[in-house]
Amino acid sequence: MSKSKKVVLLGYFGVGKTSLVRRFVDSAFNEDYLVTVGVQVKKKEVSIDKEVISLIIWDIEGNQSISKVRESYMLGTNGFLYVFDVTRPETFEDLVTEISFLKENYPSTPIQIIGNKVDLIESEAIKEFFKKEEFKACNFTSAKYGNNVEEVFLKLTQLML
Amino acid sequence: MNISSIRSNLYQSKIQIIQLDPTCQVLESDNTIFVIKENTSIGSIHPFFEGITPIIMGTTTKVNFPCINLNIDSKNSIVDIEIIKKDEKLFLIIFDFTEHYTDSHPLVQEKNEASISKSKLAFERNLLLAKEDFKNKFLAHINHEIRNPLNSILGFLEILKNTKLDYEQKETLNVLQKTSLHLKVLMDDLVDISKIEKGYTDIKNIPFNLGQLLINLSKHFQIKYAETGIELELNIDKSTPQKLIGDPTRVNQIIFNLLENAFKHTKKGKITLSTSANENNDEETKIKFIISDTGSGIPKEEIDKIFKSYYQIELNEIKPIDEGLGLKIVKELTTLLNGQINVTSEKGKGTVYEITLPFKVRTNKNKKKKSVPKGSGILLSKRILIVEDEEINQMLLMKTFLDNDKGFFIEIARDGKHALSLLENRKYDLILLKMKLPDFNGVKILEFVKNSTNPKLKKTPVLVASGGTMKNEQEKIIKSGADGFLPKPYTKKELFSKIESLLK
Repeated sequence: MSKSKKVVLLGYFGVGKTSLVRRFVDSAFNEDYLVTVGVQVKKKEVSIDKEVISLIIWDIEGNQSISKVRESYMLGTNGFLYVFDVTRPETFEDLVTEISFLKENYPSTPIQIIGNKVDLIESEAIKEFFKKEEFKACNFTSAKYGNNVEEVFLKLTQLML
Repeated sequence: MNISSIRSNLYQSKIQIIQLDPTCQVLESDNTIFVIKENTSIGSIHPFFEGITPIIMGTTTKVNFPCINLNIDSKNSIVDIEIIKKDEKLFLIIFDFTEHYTDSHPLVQEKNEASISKSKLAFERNLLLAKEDFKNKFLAHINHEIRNPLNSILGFLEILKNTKLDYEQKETLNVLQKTSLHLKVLMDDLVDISKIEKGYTDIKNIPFNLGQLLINLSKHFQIKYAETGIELELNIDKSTPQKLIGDPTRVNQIIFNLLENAFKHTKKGKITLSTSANENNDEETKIKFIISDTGSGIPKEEIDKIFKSYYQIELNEIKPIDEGLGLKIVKELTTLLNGQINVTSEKGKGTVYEITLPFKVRTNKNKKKKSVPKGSGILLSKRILIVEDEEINQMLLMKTFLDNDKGFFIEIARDGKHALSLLENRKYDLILLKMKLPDFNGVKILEFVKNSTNPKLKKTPVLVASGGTMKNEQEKIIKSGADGFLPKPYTKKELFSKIESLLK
């Protein structure tokens, strides 16, 4: 029997959490934005060093702050994916505070930060902006084209083992 | 049917109760919402239950999971789930709130979409601003880089013109000078656009005579295009006040560009410049300038584009750029002067530009008599220290100052250190300084002069010549202590005039 690990996706609404899960689990993408009400849970098995792990992925409705997430959703979480949208500053303005909150309240739970929608960045100035120190730990993804999506889920899985 | 039976029916259809054993196997289910067989593991029903299995096992009293999307046997439901442990028995209670949550969905969707659109617009705006800023910085940089060699070309051409040349050489020189000056005009246009877009253009409010300005412009074009046979008619309506307060330089630039444009596009017929004022009072007026031509005209679909940045460049991809960026400047300057511009055109028949600009009318009250400055006689034996590291520029300056009738004697410092040592040991009447020096920035020399304990050195005027023509750059230089600024490329006349004004 495979090990189960609960992964929770957090972040502002419309940043592409559902699209990342769809891309990772179903290898699909839809341009239309459909708001997530409550939580949708999906499952995908991955292999790390010949070990099969069942990722139970909790795609939670967007929230402006992690402190507003329903507490029971966070119970028993093995790993967090904090997602922001690289084209909407409001979704990463409080990144440092949000990550500090997670680290304080869930000190032993690994976190991966995702800057999604990189396919929409054209300007060199914006690319330069994300090279700043505060974004060094970020994984930049495109749910639309699948760039770096699988990698970031696997990276988190490694950290959860 | 009574209230309690309605309540009972309602509850029965909306609530499902499942009893589990301590290993999370289903002992019993009333199957109101989902069909769940006995003796199956709850974790196998849906990933949600698989995820909460450890939580169920660890429950001591009650845990609640609101708003869970479940898809079981192709049935989509949004439910609240409660885990209850009572008398060592485990229960899962599922409340079906699909209708309630689905009803609230469009409202949340609309609210989120509006918020996303708003922030996307802000993002796109920022992106455009970043692009514009990048473009302006690039233009300013390239302009600066071109101005320095252009200054040398124009300077040497001026010197060459004063040597003994045969007819053919003179003609070739004329072409060279004309082409270089055209390049200078294009560089000036680019700087103007950049300055306006960056908000660096100063608008003056000074007294001037509009009639004189228009007559001068008209004379200039009549002479310039005399050979083309195109007539320029100037009609100044009696309603137009002549004595105004405004920015004559910008007004001149607007009309100049429009007339230049009209002459370029008119092969036969005439060009008319008319003015009138309809909204006059004692203090303010709005003057309408109409520039019409009988030229090639503009196709209807192109009219909206003519004031756009680099339209001419886009149009003439193959043809070399033989015109400035005049129309873009006209539009930007008119807006800056709080005026309006309108253009009508018919292909093959001609174009009419109408510009309305507001001015203050000059009354006797605000008229000031200017006294003529006295003592502008010949200056004798003035020593100038030139700080310049590039050999070509040193040579050009030496030739420029050679045999001058102003009494200027020059000495050249090849770098910053050399300049400081010369300033320590000799006395100069003026310093002509370059800011970018191989060993250090010109600011250091400025500081040395302006902070000197030697009162004579401290008073020595410093003139900075630079290819950087942006107002902020100039301000920075003046703030550092420079007494004057001369943008490159400059003519000998401009250089000497600036020196004379600083020596007064």
